[in-house]
Amino acid sequence: VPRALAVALLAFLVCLAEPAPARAETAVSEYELKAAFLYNFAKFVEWPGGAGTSAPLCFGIVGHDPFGPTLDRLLAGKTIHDRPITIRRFPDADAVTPCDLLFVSAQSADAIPRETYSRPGVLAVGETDGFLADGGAIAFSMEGNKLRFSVNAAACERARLKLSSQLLKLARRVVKEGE
Amino acid sequence: VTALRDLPIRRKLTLVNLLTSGMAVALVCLAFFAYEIAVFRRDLREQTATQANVIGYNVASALLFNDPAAAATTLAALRAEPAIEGAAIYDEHGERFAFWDATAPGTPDIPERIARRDPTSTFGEGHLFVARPIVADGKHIGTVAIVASLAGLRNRLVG
Repeated sequence: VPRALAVALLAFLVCLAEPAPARAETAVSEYELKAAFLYNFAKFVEWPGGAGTSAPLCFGIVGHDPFGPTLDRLLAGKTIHDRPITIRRFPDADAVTPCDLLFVSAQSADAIPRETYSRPGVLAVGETDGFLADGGAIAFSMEGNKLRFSVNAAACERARLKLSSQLLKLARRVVKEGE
Repeated sequence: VTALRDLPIRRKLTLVNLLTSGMAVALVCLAFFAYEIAVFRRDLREQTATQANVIGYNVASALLFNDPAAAATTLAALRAEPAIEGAAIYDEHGERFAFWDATAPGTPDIPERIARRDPTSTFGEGHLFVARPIVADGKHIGTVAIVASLAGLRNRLVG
């Protein structure tokens, strides 16, 4: 009997020593999530003249780049409606060349004039509250610890972008004209 | 048997005729019931599968953007269909993402086995289980599962 007790005790100790299993959903960093959202946004947007082409879809980051290698890692080898994705980084507003999606970080929001991104065929994604009022198309926001977004429908229309209703229904706020 | 043998031939003939007619009617009735059941099941399976596909299409963006509340809202549209008892969305890892249920919360026991990837539909215990994959841009991103009641069948056959 003491032996059985010893075995039980040993088993108990082993159980204690066993480290808690790592949670499957390891904390995803904010910018990993935002990178995934950028990719998913593009799935639900129709660019003017984008149907049927297999030309690469350009993701541009203007100004400060908060993603680091995350965006490249996430988008590597991915396609959107059979279009490969290229990533370009522009140090400032003057360096910007035509891109399908332009991301403006919170840090660069003030330094980048709206003419840079408020153009036909450009899906402008920002992360500040004022970004939509400045003519941006999509702005990230946090709801508790969840990443959400709002859409400026008027800006999308001006940019001749068609956002799918599947995307719009998830927007926390859809801004119409003049806000 | 003796009583039967002693019957006049005329009565015997009548009896035999009655018996064969009765059996024919019973067989027809049986066939009719079987047909009704088969048609009902097929229709219910097809309707539910269609609804699962529609829900799957409409819920894909909510899955991609990790918005369970929006997925639950989409599922709640199933309330328009009285036969449907409940529905659930599972993510690509088989974890439950969103849930909707026509009766009290948690009543229909949507079994974990329909969280599998392969599209299935099975009948059991008065319910129909239908599971369909959710695909976005060619990638499997989750599963939609619906439980429908077979109570309508009883109503149709009895009422």
